[in-house]
Amino acid sequence: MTEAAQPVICLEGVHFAYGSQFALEDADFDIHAGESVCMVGPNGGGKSTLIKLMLGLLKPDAGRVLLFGEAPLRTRHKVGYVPQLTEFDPLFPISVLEVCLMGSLNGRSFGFTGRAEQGRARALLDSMELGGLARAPFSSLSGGQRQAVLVARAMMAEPELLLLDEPTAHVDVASAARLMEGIRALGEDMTVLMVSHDLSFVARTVPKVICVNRCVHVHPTAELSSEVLNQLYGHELRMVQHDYEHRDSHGGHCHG
Amino acid sequence: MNTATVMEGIAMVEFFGALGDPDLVFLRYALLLSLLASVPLGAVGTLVVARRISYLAAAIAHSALGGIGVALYTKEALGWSWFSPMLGALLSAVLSAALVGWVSLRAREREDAAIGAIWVSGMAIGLLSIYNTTGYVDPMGYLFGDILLVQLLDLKLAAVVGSVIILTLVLAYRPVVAVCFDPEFAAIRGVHSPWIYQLLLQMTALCVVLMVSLVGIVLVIALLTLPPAIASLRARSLWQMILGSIVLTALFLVVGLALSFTWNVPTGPVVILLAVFIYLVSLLAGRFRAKG
Repeated sequence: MTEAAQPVICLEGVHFAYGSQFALEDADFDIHAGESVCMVGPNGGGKSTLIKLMLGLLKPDAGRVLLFGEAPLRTRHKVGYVPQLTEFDPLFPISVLEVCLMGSLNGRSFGFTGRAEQGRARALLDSMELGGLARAPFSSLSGGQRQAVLVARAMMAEPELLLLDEPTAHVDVASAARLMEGIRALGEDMTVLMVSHDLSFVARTVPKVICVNRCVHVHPTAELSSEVLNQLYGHELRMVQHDYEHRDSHGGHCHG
Repeated sequence: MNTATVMEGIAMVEFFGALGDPDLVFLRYALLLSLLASVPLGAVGTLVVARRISYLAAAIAHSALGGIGVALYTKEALGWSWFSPMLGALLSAVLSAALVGWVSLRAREREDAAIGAIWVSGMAIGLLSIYNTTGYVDPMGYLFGDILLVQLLDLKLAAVVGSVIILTLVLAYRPVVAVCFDPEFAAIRGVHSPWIYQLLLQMTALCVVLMVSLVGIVLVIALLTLPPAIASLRARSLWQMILGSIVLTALFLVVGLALSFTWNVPTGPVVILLAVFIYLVSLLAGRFRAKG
Protein backbone atom coordinates (compact mmCIF):
# COMPACT_ATOMS: atom_id res chain seq x y z
CA MET A 1 0.00 0.00 0.00
CA THR A 2 1.49 3.34 -0.99
CA GLU A 3 1.65 6.29 1.37
CA ALA A 4 -0.73 8.33 -0.83
CA ALA A 5 -3.41 5.64 -0.93
CA GLN A 6 -3.28 4.91 2.77
CA PRO A 7 -6.67 5.59 4.36
CA VAL A 8 -6.94 7.95 7.29
CA ILE A 9 -9.21 5.49 9.08
CA CYS A 10 -9.30 1.78 8.33
CA LEU A 11 -11.48 -0.76 10.11
CA GLU A 12 -11.04 -4.44 9.29
CA GLY A 13 -13.53 -6.97 10.66
CA VAL A 14 -13.98 -5.13 13.94
CA HIS A 15 -16.09 -6.76 16.66
CA PHE A 16 -16.79 -5.15 20.00
CA ALA A 17 -19.02 -6.09 22.94
CA TYR A 18 -19.71 -4.52 26.33
CA GLY A 19 -19.62 -7.70 28.41
CA SER A 20 -22.15 -10.01 26.75
CA GLN A 21 -23.86 -7.13 24.90
CA PHE A 22 -22.72 -6.90 21.26
CA ALA A 23 -22.14 -3.32 20.11
CA LEU A 24 -20.46 -3.89 16.75
CA GLU A 25 -20.13 -6.88 14.47
CA ASP A 26 -17.73 -7.18 11.58
CA ALA A 27 -17.29 -3.45 10.96
CA ASP A 28 -15.30 -2.87 7.77
CA PHE A 29 -14.70 0.47 6.05
CA ASP A 30 -12.09 3.03 5.03
CA ILE A 31 -12.12 6.81 5.12
CA HIS A 32 -9.60 8.62 2.93
CA ALA A 33 -7.86 11.96 3.29
CA GLY A 34 -10.05 14.96 2.54
CA GLU A 35 -13.34 13.06 2.77
CA SER A 36 -16.32 14.34 4.74
CA VAL A 37 -18.42 11.52 6.12
CA CYS A 38 -21.37 11.24 8.50
CA MET A 39 -22.29 8.32 10.73
CA VAL A 40 -26.01 7.79 11.30
CA GLY A 41 -27.98 5.17 13.19
CA PRO A 42 -30.25 4.62 16.16
CA ASN A 43 -29.25 5.27 19.78
CA GLY A 44 -27.20 2.36 21.10
CA GLY A 45 -26.37 1.31 17.54
CA GLY A 46 -22.62 1.64 18.10
CA LYS A 47 -21.76 5.07 16.65
CA SER A 48 -20.01 6.43 19.75
CA THR A 49 -18.36 3.03 20.27
CA LEU A 50 -16.91 3.30 16.77
CA ILE A 51 -15.55 6.77 17.54
CA LYS A 52 -13.96 5.48 20.77
CA LEU A 53 -12.40 2.55 18.90
CA MET A 54 -10.94 4.95 16.35
CA LEU A 55 -9.46 7.04 19.16
CA GLY A 56 -8.00 4.04 20.96
CA LEU A 57 -10.21 4.66 24.01
CA LEU A 58 -11.61 1.14 23.48
CA LYS A 59 -9.87 -1.94 22.09
CA PRO A 60 -11.67 -4.18 19.59
CA ASP A 61 -12.44 -7.76 20.66
CA ALA A 62 -11.56 -8.88 17.14
CA GLY A 63 -10.33 -7.23 13.96
CA ARG A 64 -8.20 -4.11 13.85
CA VAL A 65 -8.52 -0.35 13.72
CA LEU A 66 -5.86 1.70 11.99
CA LEU A 67 -5.56 5.46 12.25
CA PHE A 68 -3.17 6.96 9.69
CA GLY A 69 -1.97 3.39 9.06
CA GLU A 70 -0.99 2.74 12.68
CA ALA A 71 -2.53 1.80 16.02
CA PRO A 72 -4.75 4.68 17.26
CA LEU A 73 -2.69 5.14 20.45
CA ARG A 74 0.31 6.10 18.31
CA THR A 75 -1.40 8.53 15.96
CA ARG A 76 -4.41 9.95 17.79
CA HIS A 77 -2.54 13.18 18.47
CA LYS A 78 -3.31 13.99 14.81
CA VAL A 79 -7.04 13.89 15.59
CA GLY A 80 -9.23 16.78 16.71
CA TYR A 81 -12.07 15.33 18.79
CA VAL A 82 -15.34 17.08 19.56
CA PRO A 83 -17.32 15.02 22.10
CA GLN A 84 -21.03 15.24 22.85
CA LEU A 85 -22.08 18.29 24.85
CA THR A 86 -23.96 16.09 27.32
CA GLU A 87 -20.65 14.63 28.54
CA PHE A 88 -19.78 17.85 30.37
CA ASP A 89 -20.61 18.83 33.91
CA PRO A 90 -22.63 22.05 33.51
CA LEU A 91 -21.35 23.30 36.88
CA PHE A 92 -17.65 22.86 36.14
CA PRO A 93 -16.06 26.29 36.73
CA ILE A 94 -13.94 26.88 33.67
CA SER A 95 -13.60 29.76 31.24
CA VAL A 96 -14.01 29.54 27.47
CA LEU A 97 -10.31 30.33 26.97
CA GLU A 98 -9.25 27.60 29.43
CA VAL A 99 -11.34 25.04 27.53
CA CYS A 100 -9.87 26.12 24.22
CA LEU A 101 -6.30 25.96 25.56
CA MET A 102 -6.78 22.28 26.46
CA GLY A 103 -6.49 21.59 22.75
CA SER A 104 -2.75 22.32 22.79
CA LEU A 105 -2.01 19.90 25.63
CA ASN A 106 0.44 17.08 25.16
CA GLY A 107 2.14 14.57 27.40
CA ARG A 108 4.77 17.15 28.38
CA SER A 109 2.49 20.10 29.16
CA PHE A 110 3.76 21.41 32.48
CA GLY A 111 3.57 24.88 33.92
CA PHE A 112 1.56 27.67 32.34
CA THR A 113 0.49 28.26 28.75
CA GLY A 114 2.77 30.29 26.51
CA ARG A 115 1.86 33.50 24.68
CA ALA A 116 1.81 31.72 21.32
CA GLU A 117 -0.77 29.22 22.60
CA GLN A 118 -2.89 31.98 24.08
CA GLY A 119 -2.71 33.90 20.81
CA ARG A 120 -3.75 30.88 18.75
CA ALA A 121 -6.63 30.10 21.11
CA ARG A 122 -7.89 33.68 20.88
CA ALA A 123 -7.57 33.66 17.08
CA LEU A 124 -9.57 30.44 16.86
CA LEU A 125 -12.23 31.81 19.19
CA ASP A 126 -12.36 34.96 17.06
CA SER A 127 -12.85 32.88 13.93
CA MET A 128 -15.79 31.14 15.62
CA GLU A 129 -17.20 34.57 16.59
CA LEU A 130 -16.49 33.93 20.27
CA GLY A 131 -13.60 36.32 20.80
CA GLY A 132 -15.57 38.52 23.19
CA LEU A 133 -16.47 35.56 25.38
CA ALA A 134 -12.95 34.26 26.08
CA ARG A 135 -13.19 35.03 29.83
CA ALA A 136 -16.84 33.98 30.16
CA PRO A 137 -17.67 30.74 32.02
CA PHE A 138 -18.09 27.86 29.56
CA SER A 139 -21.36 26.93 31.27
CA SER A 140 -22.88 30.35 30.53
CA LEU A 141 -22.79 29.81 26.74
CA SER A 142 -25.61 28.52 24.56
CA GLY A 143 -25.45 25.00 23.11
CA GLY A 144 -24.26 26.28 19.72
CA GLN A 145 -21.58 28.47 21.28
CA ARG A 146 -20.31 25.62 23.44
CA GLN A 147 -20.06 23.37 20.38
CA ALA A 148 -18.10 26.11 18.64
CA VAL A 149 -15.69 26.33 21.61
CA LEU A 150 -15.18 22.56 21.47
CA VAL A 151 -14.46 22.79 17.75
CA ALA A 152 -11.94 25.59 18.43
CA ARG A 153 -10.36 23.38 21.14
CA ALA A 154 -10.11 20.47 18.69
CA MET A 155 -8.51 22.77 16.09
CA MET A 156 -5.82 24.01 18.50
CA ALA A 157 -3.51 21.11 17.58
CA GLU A 158 -4.03 21.63 13.81
CA PRO A 159 -5.53 18.15 13.33
CA GLU A 160 -5.51 16.19 10.09
CA LEU A 161 -8.76 14.44 11.04
CA LEU A 162 -11.72 15.97 12.85
CA LEU A 163 -14.08 13.61 14.69
CA LEU A 164 -17.33 15.16 15.88
CA ASP A 165 -19.81 13.23 18.04
CA GLU A 166 -23.26 14.71 17.46
CA PRO A 167 -22.17 18.32 16.90
CA THR A 168 -25.70 19.40 15.95
CA ALA A 169 -27.52 17.88 18.94
CA HIS A 170 -29.07 20.65 21.13
CA VAL A 171 -28.18 23.19 18.43
CA ASP A 172 -30.66 25.05 16.19
CA VAL A 173 -30.48 24.88 12.41
CA ALA A 174 -28.83 28.28 11.95
CA SER A 175 -26.18 27.55 14.62
CA ALA A 176 -25.48 24.15 13.05
CA ALA A 177 -24.98 25.80 9.65
CA ARG A 178 -22.65 28.44 11.18
CA LEU A 179 -20.72 25.69 12.96
CA MET A 180 -20.16 23.79 9.72
CA GLU A 181 -19.10 26.99 7.94
CA GLY A 182 -16.64 27.62 10.75
CA ILE A 183 -15.21 24.09 10.48
CA ARG A 184 -14.83 24.35 6.73
CA ALA A 185 -13.16 27.76 7.01
CA LEU A 186 -10.66 26.37 9.52
CA GLY A 187 -9.60 23.37 7.47
CA GLU A 188 -10.77 23.01 3.89
CA ASP A 189 -8.73 19.89 3.14
CA MET A 190 -9.24 18.30 6.52
CA THR A 191 -10.84 14.85 6.78
CA VAL A 192 -14.09 15.12 8.74
CA LEU A 193 -16.12 12.33 10.32
CA MET A 194 -19.18 13.24 12.34
CA VAL A 195 -21.98 11.44 14.10
CA SER A 196 -25.42 12.95 13.61
CA HIS A 197 -29.08 12.09 14.14
CA ASP A 198 -30.12 15.00 11.95
CA LEU A 199 -30.66 13.37 8.54
CA SER A 200 -31.51 16.71 6.97
CA PHE A 201 -28.18 18.07 8.14
CA VAL A 202 -26.41 14.93 6.88
CA ALA A 203 -28.03 15.20 3.46
CA ARG A 204 -26.99 18.84 3.16
CA THR A 205 -23.46 18.42 4.46
CA VAL A 206 -21.68 15.25 3.29
CA PRO A 207 -21.54 13.06 0.16
CA LYS A 208 -21.01 9.77 2.04
CA VAL A 209 -22.87 8.17 4.95
CA ILE A 210 -21.93 5.32 7.26
CA CYS A 211 -25.04 3.59 8.61
CA VAL A 212 -24.39 1.96 11.98
CA ASN A 213 -26.69 -0.37 13.86
CA ARG A 214 -24.36 -3.07 15.18
CA CYS A 215 -23.48 -3.77 11.54
CA VAL A 216 -21.92 -1.09 9.37
CA HIS A 217 -22.90 -0.15 5.79
CA VAL A 218 -21.47 2.68 3.74
CA HIS A 219 -23.67 4.53 1.22
CA PRO A 220 -23.34 7.63 -0.96
CA THR A 221 -25.74 10.17 0.57
CA ALA A 222 -27.70 10.36 -2.69
CA GLU A 223 -28.56 6.66 -2.29
CA LEU A 224 -29.92 7.09 1.21
CA SER A 225 -33.48 5.93 0.55
CA SER A 226 -36.47 5.42 2.83
CA GLU A 227 -35.87 1.65 2.59
CA VAL A 228 -32.28 1.98 3.81
CA LEU A 229 -33.38 4.16 6.72
CA ASN A 230 -36.27 1.85 7.64
CA GLN A 231 -33.82 -1.04 7.78
CA LEU A 232 -31.34 0.99 9.79
CA TYR A 233 -33.71 2.41 12.39
CA GLY A 234 -36.22 -0.49 12.43
CA HIS A 235 -38.98 2.10 12.18
CA GLU A 236 -40.93 3.51 9.27
CA LEU A 237 -39.28 6.70 8.01
CA ARG A 238 -40.18 8.72 4.91
CA MET A 239 -37.37 10.40 3.00
CA VAL A 240 -38.48 13.71 1.47
CA GLN A 241 -36.27 14.90 -1.38
CA HIS A 242 -36.10 18.64 -1.92
CA ASP A 243 -35.14 20.49 -5.06
CA TYR A 244 -31.48 21.61 -5.04
CA GLU A 245 -32.27 25.19 -6.09
CA HIS A 246 -35.14 25.47 -3.65
CA ARG A 247 -33.21 24.21 -0.61
CA ASP A 248 -29.77 25.31 -1.68
CA SER A 249 -28.64 21.80 -0.80
CA HIS A 250 -28.18 18.38 -2.29
CA GLY A 251 -30.49 16.33 -0.20
CA GLY A 252 -33.62 15.95 1.73
CA HIS A 253 -34.85 15.09 5.18
CA CYS A 254 -36.88 12.48 6.91
CA HIS A 255 -40.24 12.28 8.59
CA GLY A 256 -40.99 9.51 11.04
CA MET B 1 -26.01 45.33 71.02
CA ASN B 2 -26.95 43.01 73.90
CA THR B 3 -24.78 41.92 76.82
CA ALA B 4 -24.08 38.45 75.40
CA THR B 5 -22.71 39.91 72.17
CA VAL B 6 -20.48 42.30 74.09
CA MET B 7 -19.22 39.40 76.24
CA GLU B 8 -18.49 37.32 73.14
CA GLY B 9 -16.66 40.25 71.59
CA ILE B 10 -14.52 40.55 74.72
CA ALA B 11 -13.87 36.82 74.67
CA MET B 12 -12.78 36.97 70.98
CA VAL B 13 -10.34 39.72 71.92
CA GLU B 14 -9.16 37.40 74.70
CA PHE B 15 -8.51 34.69 72.09
CA PHE B 16 -6.13 36.89 70.16
CA GLY B 17 -4.57 37.95 73.46
CA ALA B 18 -4.20 34.29 74.47
CA LEU B 19 -2.10 33.61 71.36
CA GLY B 20 0.77 35.38 73.11
CA ASP B 21 0.40 33.32 76.31
CA PRO B 22 3.51 31.08 76.68
CA ASP B 23 1.36 28.39 78.37
CA LEU B 24 -0.97 28.13 75.38
CA VAL B 25 1.51 26.94 72.74
CA PHE B 26 -1.11 24.56 71.28
CA LEU B 27 -3.27 27.56 70.39
CA ARG B 28 -0.52 29.15 68.32
CA TYR B 29 0.20 25.78 66.70
CA ALA B 30 -3.49 25.38 65.84
CA LEU B 31 -3.66 28.87 64.31
CA LEU B 32 -0.49 28.32 62.28
CA LEU B 33 -1.72 24.90 61.14
CA SER B 34 -5.01 26.47 60.04
CA LEU B 35 -3.23 29.07 57.94
CA LEU B 36 -0.71 26.64 56.48
CA ALA B 37 -3.23 23.91 55.66
CA SER B 38 -5.84 26.21 54.12
CA VAL B 39 -3.75 26.63 50.94
CA PRO B 40 -3.53 22.94 49.92
CA LEU B 41 -7.01 22.23 51.32
CA GLY B 42 -8.60 25.03 49.28
CA ALA B 43 -6.77 24.05 46.09
CA VAL B 44 -7.29 20.29 46.30
CA GLY B 45 -10.86 20.70 47.63
CA THR B 46 -11.71 22.76 44.55
CA LEU B 47 -10.58 19.95 42.27
CA VAL B 48 -12.44 17.36 44.36
CA VAL B 49 -15.67 19.36 44.09
CA ALA B 50 -15.19 20.25 40.41
CA ARG B 51 -14.49 16.58 39.55
CA ARG B 52 -17.40 15.49 41.80
CA ILE B 53 -15.38 12.94 43.75
CA SER B 54 -16.37 14.02 47.28
CA TYR B 55 -17.54 10.46 47.93
CA LEU B 56 -14.10 9.10 47.07
CA ALA B 57 -12.45 11.75 49.26
CA ALA B 58 -14.74 10.76 52.15
CA ALA B 59 -13.75 7.11 51.73
CA ILE B 60 -10.05 8.04 51.81
CA ALA B 61 -10.57 10.22 54.90
CA HIS B 62 -12.49 7.61 56.89
CA SER B 63 -10.14 4.76 56.05
CA ALA B 64 -7.28 6.76 57.61
CA LEU B 65 -8.57 5.52 60.98
CA GLY B 66 -7.19 2.09 60.03
CA GLY B 67 -3.63 3.43 59.95
CA ILE B 68 -4.12 5.44 63.16
CA GLY B 69 -5.37 2.36 65.00
CA VAL B 70 -2.60 0.10 63.69
CA ALA B 71 0.02 2.71 64.65
CA LEU B 72 -1.35 3.00 68.20
CA TYR B 73 -1.47 -0.79 68.56
CA THR B 74 2.00 -1.52 67.19
CA LYS B 75 3.49 1.33 69.19
CA GLU B 76 2.19 -0.26 72.37
CA ALA B 77 2.37 -4.00 71.52
CA LEU B 78 5.60 -4.09 69.49
CA GLY B 79 7.34 -1.06 70.93
CA TRP B 80 7.50 0.72 67.58
CA SER B 81 7.77 4.17 69.09
CA TRP B 82 8.59 5.70 65.69
CA PHE B 83 5.24 4.59 64.29
CA SER B 84 3.16 7.64 65.20
CA PRO B 85 -0.60 7.83 64.56
CA MET B 86 0.05 10.59 61.99
CA LEU B 87 2.40 8.32 60.06
CA GLY B 88 -0.22 5.55 60.27
CA ALA B 89 -2.88 7.95 58.98
CA LEU B 90 -0.58 9.01 56.14
CA LEU B 91 0.19 5.44 55.06
CA SER B 92 -3.40 4.25 55.20
CA ALA B 93 -4.75 7.36 53.43
CA VAL B 94 -2.19 6.96 50.63
CA LEU B 95 -2.93 3.24 50.33
CA SER B 96 -6.70 3.69 50.32
CA ALA B 97 -6.38 6.54 47.77
CA ALA B 98 -4.51 4.14 45.47
CA LEU B 99 -7.18 1.47 45.99
CA VAL B 100 -10.08 3.89 45.55
CA GLY B 101 -8.50 5.23 42.36
CA TRP B 102 -7.95 1.76 41.00
CA VAL B 103 -11.54 0.73 41.76
CA SER B 104 -12.93 3.95 40.36
CA LEU B 105 -11.00 3.58 37.09
CA ARG B 106 -11.24 -0.18 36.63
CA ALA B 107 -14.47 -1.39 38.21
CA ARG B 108 -17.16 -1.81 35.58
CA GLU B 109 -19.99 -2.32 38.06
CA ARG B 110 -20.74 -1.80 41.75
CA GLU B 111 -18.05 0.88 42.04
CA ASP B 112 -19.89 2.53 44.94
CA ALA B 113 -20.11 -0.75 46.88
CA ALA B 114 -16.38 -1.44 46.42
CA ILE B 115 -15.47 2.07 47.56
CA GLY B 116 -17.86 1.72 50.50
CA ALA B 117 -16.05 -1.49 51.43
CA ILE B 118 -12.68 0.34 51.48
CA TRP B 119 -14.27 3.11 53.57
CA VAL B 120 -15.67 0.81 56.29
CA SER B 121 -12.74 -1.65 56.26
CA GLY B 122 -10.38 1.14 57.24
CA MET B 123 -12.65 2.23 60.08
CA ALA B 124 -13.18 -1.33 61.28
CA ILE B 125 -9.44 -2.10 61.30
CA GLY B 126 -8.83 1.14 63.17
CA LEU B 127 -11.48 0.49 65.83
CA LEU B 128 -10.38 -3.14 66.35
CA SER B 129 -6.75 -2.07 66.71
CA ILE B 130 -7.67 0.64 69.21
CA TYR B 131 -9.84 -1.86 71.13
CA ASN B 132 -6.89 -4.26 71.41
CA THR B 133 -4.47 -1.56 72.51
CA THR B 134 -3.93 -1.73 76.26
CA GLY B 135 -4.50 1.45 78.18
CA TYR B 136 -7.14 4.02 77.42
CA VAL B 137 -7.17 5.39 73.86
CA ASP B 138 -10.02 7.69 72.91
CA PRO B 139 -10.68 7.50 69.14
CA MET B 140 -12.91 10.60 69.33
CA GLY B 141 -9.93 12.94 69.01
CA TYR B 142 -8.92 11.36 65.70
CA LEU B 143 -12.49 11.13 64.43
CA PHE B 144 -13.59 14.67 65.26
CA GLY B 145 -10.35 16.49 66.01
CA ASP B 146 -8.76 17.67 69.22
CA ILE B 147 -6.88 20.93 69.39
CA LEU B 148 -4.60 19.44 72.05
CA LEU B 149 -3.36 16.87 69.51
CA VAL B 150 -1.76 19.60 67.38
CA GLN B 151 2.01 19.43 67.73
CA LEU B 152 5.04 21.04 66.15
CA LEU B 153 5.35 17.94 63.96
CA ASP B 154 1.94 18.75 62.44
CA LEU B 155 3.16 22.22 61.51
CA LYS B 156 6.29 20.85 59.86
CA LEU B 157 4.22 18.23 58.05
CA ALA B 158 1.75 20.89 56.90
CA ALA B 159 4.56 23.10 55.58
CA VAL B 160 6.22 20.24 53.67
CA VAL B 161 3.04 18.60 52.39
CA GLY B 162 1.47 21.95 51.53
CA SER B 163 4.57 22.98 49.55
CA VAL B 164 4.65 19.66 47.70
CA ILE B 165 0.96 19.93 46.81
CA ILE B 166 1.18 23.52 45.62
CA LEU B 167 4.33 22.86 43.58
CA THR B 168 2.71 19.80 42.02
CA LEU B 169 -0.42 21.76 41.20
CA VAL B 170 1.51 24.64 39.66
CA LEU B 171 3.48 22.24 37.47
CA ALA B 172 0.63 19.91 36.56
CA TYR B 173 -2.23 22.41 36.65
CA ARG B 174 -3.17 22.11 32.98
CA PRO B 175 -3.26 18.30 32.76
CA VAL B 176 -5.02 18.07 36.15
CA VAL B 177 -7.74 20.49 35.05
CA ALA B 178 -8.08 18.76 31.68
CA VAL B 179 -8.48 15.35 33.34
CA CYS B 180 -11.06 16.76 35.77
CA PHE B 181 -13.03 18.43 32.95
CA ASP B 182 -12.74 15.92 30.11
CA PRO B 183 -10.56 12.85 30.81
CA GLU B 184 -11.09 11.30 27.38
CA PHE B 185 -9.98 14.42 25.53
CA ALA B 186 -6.98 14.73 27.85
CA ALA B 187 -6.04 11.11 27.07
CA ILE B 188 -6.28 11.76 23.33
CA ARG B 189 -3.95 14.74 23.74
CA GLY B 190 -1.32 12.47 25.29
CA VAL B 191 -2.02 13.14 28.98
CA HIS B 192 -1.90 9.98 31.08
CA SER B 193 -5.36 10.45 32.59
CA PRO B 194 -5.24 7.55 35.11
CA TRP B 195 -1.93 8.80 36.57
CA ILE B 196 -3.21 12.35 36.88
CA TYR B 197 -6.39 11.06 38.51
CA GLN B 198 -4.29 9.06 40.97
CA LEU B 199 -2.21 12.16 41.63
CA LEU B 200 -5.37 14.07 42.54
CA LEU B 201 -6.48 11.30 44.92
CA GLN B 202 -3.04 11.17 46.54
CA MET B 203 -3.12 14.94 47.09
CA THR B 204 -6.55 14.47 48.68
CA ALA B 205 -5.09 11.82 50.99
CA LEU B 206 -2.32 14.23 52.07
CA CYS B 207 -4.86 16.99 52.78
CA VAL B 208 -6.88 14.60 54.95
CA VAL B 209 -3.80 13.78 57.03
CA LEU B 210 -3.04 17.47 57.53
CA MET B 211 -6.38 17.98 59.22
CA VAL B 212 -6.54 14.83 61.40
CA SER B 213 -5.55 16.65 64.57
CA LEU B 214 -7.55 19.83 64.10
CA VAL B 215 -10.92 18.70 62.72
CA GLY B 216 -10.60 14.90 62.56
CA ILE B 217 -11.09 12.41 59.73
CA VAL B 218 -14.90 12.49 59.83
CA LEU B 219 -15.26 16.25 59.60
CA VAL B 220 -12.39 16.96 57.21
CA ILE B 221 -14.54 16.11 54.20
CA ALA B 222 -16.77 19.12 54.97
CA LEU B 223 -13.71 21.35 55.00
CA LEU B 224 -12.61 19.94 51.65
CA THR B 225 -15.97 20.46 49.99
CA LEU B 226 -17.88 23.38 51.55
CA PRO B 227 -15.42 26.24 50.88
CA PRO B 228 -15.10 25.28 47.18
CA ALA B 229 -18.87 24.88 46.94
CA ILE B 230 -19.34 28.41 48.31
CA ALA B 231 -16.59 29.82 46.08
CA SER B 232 -18.14 28.16 43.02
CA LEU B 233 -21.27 30.29 43.43
CA ARG B 234 -19.34 33.38 42.28
CA ALA B 235 -16.26 32.00 40.49
CA ARG B 236 -15.99 32.36 36.71
CA SER B 237 -12.98 30.11 36.35
CA LEU B 238 -11.21 27.37 38.27
CA TRP B 239 -8.46 29.77 39.38
CA GLN B 240 -11.01 32.09 40.98
CA MET B 241 -12.64 29.11 42.69
CA ILE B 242 -9.29 27.93 44.07
CA LEU B 243 -8.40 31.39 45.43
CA GLY B 244 -11.87 31.90 46.93
CA SER B 245 -11.75 28.46 48.46
CA ILE B 246 -8.34 29.06 50.09
CA VAL B 247 -9.54 32.32 51.63
CA LEU B 248 -12.77 30.75 52.91
CA THR B 249 -10.95 27.70 54.34
CA ALA B 250 -8.55 29.97 56.25
CA LEU B 251 -11.46 32.12 57.45
CA PHE B 252 -13.52 29.15 58.69
CA LEU B 253 -10.54 27.61 60.47
CA VAL B 254 -9.37 30.80 62.18
CA VAL B 255 -12.84 32.07 63.15
CA GLY B 256 -13.90 28.54 64.18
CA LEU B 257 -10.77 28.21 66.31
CA ALA B 258 -11.43 31.57 67.98
CA LEU B 259 -15.09 30.76 68.62
CA SER B 260 -14.35 27.30 70.02
CA PHE B 261 -11.72 28.75 72.33
CA THR B 262 -14.14 31.47 73.39
CA TRP B 263 -17.02 29.06 74.04
CA ASN B 264 -14.72 26.31 75.40
CA VAL B 265 -16.08 23.68 72.97
CA PRO B 266 -14.37 21.32 70.44
CA THR B 267 -12.91 23.14 67.42
CA GLY B 268 -13.83 20.68 64.64
CA PRO B 269 -17.62 20.86 64.98
CA VAL B 270 -17.54 24.67 65.34
CA VAL B 271 -15.48 25.05 62.15
CA ILE B 272 -17.83 22.73 60.26
CA LEU B 273 -21.05 24.32 61.53
CA LEU B 274 -19.67 27.74 60.63
CA ALA B 275 -18.88 26.49 57.08
CA VAL B 276 -22.34 24.91 56.75
CA PHE B 277 -24.00 28.12 57.97
CA ILE B 278 -22.11 30.31 55.48
CA TYR B 279 -22.85 27.77 52.73
CA LEU B 280 -26.59 27.94 53.41
CA VAL B 281 -26.53 31.74 53.61
CA SER B 282 -24.63 31.88 50.30
CA LEU B 283 -27.15 29.56 48.64
CA LEU B 284 -30.07 31.64 49.89
CA ALA B 285 -28.37 34.89 48.85
CA GLY B 286 -27.81 33.38 45.40
CA ARG B 287 -31.50 32.46 45.14
CA PHE B 288 -32.60 35.97 46.15
CA ARG B 289 -30.15 37.51 43.66
CA ALA B 290 -31.48 35.28 40.90
CA LYS B 291 -35.09 36.25 41.71
CA GLY B 292 -34.24 39.93 42.01
